[in-house]
Amino acid sequence: MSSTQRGLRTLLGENAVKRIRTSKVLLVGAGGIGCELIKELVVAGFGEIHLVDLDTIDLSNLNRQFLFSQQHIKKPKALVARDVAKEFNPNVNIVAYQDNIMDAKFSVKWFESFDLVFNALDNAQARQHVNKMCVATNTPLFDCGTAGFLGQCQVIIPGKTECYDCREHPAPKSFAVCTIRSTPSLPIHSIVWAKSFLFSLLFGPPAAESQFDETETDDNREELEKLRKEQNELGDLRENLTSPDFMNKLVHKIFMEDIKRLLSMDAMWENRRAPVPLEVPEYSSKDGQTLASQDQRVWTTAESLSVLADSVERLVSRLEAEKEISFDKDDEDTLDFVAAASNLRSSIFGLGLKSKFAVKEIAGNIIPAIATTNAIVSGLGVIEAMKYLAGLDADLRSVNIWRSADRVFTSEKPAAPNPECLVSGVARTTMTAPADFTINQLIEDILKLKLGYSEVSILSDRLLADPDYDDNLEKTLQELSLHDKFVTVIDDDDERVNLEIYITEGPVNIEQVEIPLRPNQSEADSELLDPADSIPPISSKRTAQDAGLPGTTSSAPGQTFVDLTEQDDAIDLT
Amino acid sequence: MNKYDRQIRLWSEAGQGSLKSARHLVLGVTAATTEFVKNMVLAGIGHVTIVDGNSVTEADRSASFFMHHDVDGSNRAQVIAQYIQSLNDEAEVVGAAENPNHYIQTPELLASYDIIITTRLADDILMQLWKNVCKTSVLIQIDSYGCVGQVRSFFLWHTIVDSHPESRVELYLHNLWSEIESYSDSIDLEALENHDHEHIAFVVLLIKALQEWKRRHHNGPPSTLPEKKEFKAIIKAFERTYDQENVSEAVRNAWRVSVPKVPEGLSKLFEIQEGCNLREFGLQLTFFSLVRALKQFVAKYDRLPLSGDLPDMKSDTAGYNRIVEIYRTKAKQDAEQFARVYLNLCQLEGLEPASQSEIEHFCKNCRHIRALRGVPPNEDKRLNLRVHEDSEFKSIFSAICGANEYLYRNHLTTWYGDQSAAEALRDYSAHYADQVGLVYDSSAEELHSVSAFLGGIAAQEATKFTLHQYTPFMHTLVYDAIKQATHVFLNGEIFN
Ligand SMILES: [Zn+2]
Repeated sequence: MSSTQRGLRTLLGENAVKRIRTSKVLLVGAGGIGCELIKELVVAGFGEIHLVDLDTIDLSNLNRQFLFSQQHIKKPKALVARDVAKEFNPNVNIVAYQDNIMDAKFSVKWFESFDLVFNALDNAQARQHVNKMCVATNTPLFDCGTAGFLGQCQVIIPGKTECYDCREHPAPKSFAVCTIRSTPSLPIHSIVWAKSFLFSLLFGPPAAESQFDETETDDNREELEKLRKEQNELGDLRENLTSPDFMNKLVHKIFMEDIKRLLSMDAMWENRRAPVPLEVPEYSSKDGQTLASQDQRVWTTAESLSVLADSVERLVSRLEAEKEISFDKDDEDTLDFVAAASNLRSSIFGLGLKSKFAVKEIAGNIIPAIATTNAIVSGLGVIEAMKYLAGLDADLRSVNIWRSADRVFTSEKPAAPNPECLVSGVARTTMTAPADFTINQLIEDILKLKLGYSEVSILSDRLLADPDYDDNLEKTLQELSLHDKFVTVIDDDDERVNLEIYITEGPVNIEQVEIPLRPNQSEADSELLDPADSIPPISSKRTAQDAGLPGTTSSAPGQTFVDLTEQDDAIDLT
Repeated sequence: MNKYDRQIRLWSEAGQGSLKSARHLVLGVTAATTEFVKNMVLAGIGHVTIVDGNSVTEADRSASFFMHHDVDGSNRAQVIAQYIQSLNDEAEVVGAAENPNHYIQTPELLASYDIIITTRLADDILMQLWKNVCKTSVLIQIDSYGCVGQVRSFFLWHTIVDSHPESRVELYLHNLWSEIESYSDSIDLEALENHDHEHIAFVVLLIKALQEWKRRHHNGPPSTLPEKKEFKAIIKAFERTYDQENVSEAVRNAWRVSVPKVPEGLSKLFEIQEGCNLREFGLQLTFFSLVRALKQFVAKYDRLPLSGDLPDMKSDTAGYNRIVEIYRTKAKQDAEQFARVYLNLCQLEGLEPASQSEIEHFCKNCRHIRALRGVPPNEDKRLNLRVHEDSEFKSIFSAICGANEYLYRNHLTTWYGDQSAAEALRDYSAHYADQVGLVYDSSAEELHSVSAFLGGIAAQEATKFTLHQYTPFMHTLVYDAIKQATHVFLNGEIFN
């Protein structure tokens, strides 16, 4: 910051300028918004900036992430951002970490050391994690995000405003297995089929278990039987990847025989447009590579077959060196396979055809991103942070960018926390306990004896114990790696709100905590006067999943989720 | 893959090509114009010249990332050009150590730029510049003062071929052609088994309902509410089974038979170019000659060219594929016929025709093209002060214009504690003086984040102007960071 900034002083006051200069800021994500925020925080005069990002730099970042250039591709974002920012401006003081923000080393204690946090992330899981840490440590969070021309910046002041999880966010798209395997009705269904089913069965890691919900009903018995057969045949084909007529067999099976098999299930097509088995035209793998480079144009059937044949040859030749290949949108061989196979399937089912360029966007879950929207959102975010430090609490605004004829964005006063929220609507405390402290001790000595619970369930990123599940009772905190983590205590009598306990290592001790009653519970009490008469609320038990806890898979901040993860009977596009 | 992949997904490779061939001129370095240049260079603009005669000052340092003690005393434009050039070697960034006034008064220096960016120019100078460039360029002024600022854009005409409509689906049922009509006639609804009846595409049901409608009425498609009700009843009468899905689809799409042959805005554009010498449209010559050709096409075929896009519909596969084929074939024929009409026109008028792909692109989007007619800076100001507009933002607007005037007249960049500035601002704002304090308190310094916001907005507008895609706002956007609110003073005319 310049030694003067007379304008800033007059506008925000001397005190605010001082607070800005002495603030310690955490910035999560060094992508498009992150680069902009670094610049803005430095110029605004923020004293110390800590920057966390696990991701490395990719060519497609360069249209907006101004701290990176060609020479930095594949290098860590956080470290390059720190170094380049310093080249542009010697006043930069950044501590950079190439790490996952959800790593346990970024503990509650660590989060507590910051005055402000900025989220510049593009995945919900990491955003939820930072949100939870900020709420737990009472640290203001400015959550920024963009997608193409749209964007938003949410101001989160724990205890005073809504948090990220106070409102529901749209669930990721998911498709029933039957839609993908038997009855696709949109081009995306063909793409998911080509990527998550066909490609992974032929080239991917062997499936650990059946992808199907094995519970049969009278309705789906026939379909499941056929799908199982189809899958086994594909397994057989995989054994013969190197045989000279593999491609012919593959095409014959997946685009003709399997389709005929589907057609034989008359009932399935009574109310749907029936598929038409492929009539295979002349094609040659020789043209494949040339055609594959024409990625803006929709291929004909023969062209798709040429690309498919060529990509199969390329993939098979790689299998000598690589045991298995996973789909990656930036791996041309895998993308060509998925683009060609999905279009062939779409033409069989009479669905719209897509160029390889468009298939990549869908299969790779690519979100368009431009520098201008990032600049706009980052500007708004830092302005709100400065207003917060200037004590202008009543003027704080959350902003949504959506262009209409007479405004660029809409802004609103942040709402009060949602009492039902599983992040802001819970009680929190900390405790210390030694490594050999068991779950049973936690339940009996702490929760029942000290806190007066009768029946409880305990969760971390999974279920640890409940009245019917005692496998972990004798396991220790160390065995379950629960130090520096939250556990959630659910009152099985359904009277109190959930309690989040943050456990660190030390002699047994728990901070005093008041655990309020559930909102509906306290209402019932006041109405009925005699608590003994109150009817237990019908609210169902909350699970780890709806407690908004991070799942077991770790993820990198600043990284777009590209996987189609398959769970039970649904395929999620996250 | 290329490094513009994430934006090509928004505006296509053709759009990226337009950016690549665009040339911008930036008159005056502030944090806001610096941010503007940074955004355009990252996006892949072809060329940008930055002009400023001053050296880096203390005030610059407090608001611009690229200016710090190490570059003290260097020319602002050259410092910025050097740093920003390093962000993208495919763009050409030139820094000229000259007074912007020199450019403003030398029309030859201004001629080759598509967009000219100004900052803190007094209104009469802006008007002088406008007179020199309005035939060849769009003018955008960005002003950032402390917590407030504005972005204003000036142009004679701006035209948009791809406005990114939600859908290009158009069934053209008001004017059927023989293939679709004879396909529909080949289906005898009454003779069909229930199962087949349920799988007739709704397009066919609409055509048959329209035939029945024409037997009953002789005055065009249903337009009044009772007429529309009657038409829906005709469709509903096809129903054989309860809640028959294709019949419901037809009812939901019944409005499509009443879609005007030519949308209102397009009719106005037809009128505007009528009888004009097309060359009067200057930069928009190609667009308006395509519009004239489109009008001739409509005169000849009594409808706009088909886009060929169809909605999804419940149907058996053979029927669906047949309809898709009929529409695609017709769209292709229409595109060819349109190109013929257009090329004829070009020959007749002695015009250089647009490329094949431009013609196709226009034809595909013809129902959704747009044109904006802007107003010059002096007009802009007069209209902006209309009494009914939001008075708080009007006051900020007036104070900013006053500040521009004061700085420009006195050759200043800031006014720390200068009372005459306060008086000048108040004089200028006359009845709208409530917000003068906000501008005065900034001492004409910029807050970087406010400038980043304004530079982002201005670059997004410049991108839209360059792409001829999406619709820029008309005309002046005023921003208040403390209230976190914007107001757009609309001005000019929009045809869409
Ligand atoms: Zn919450």
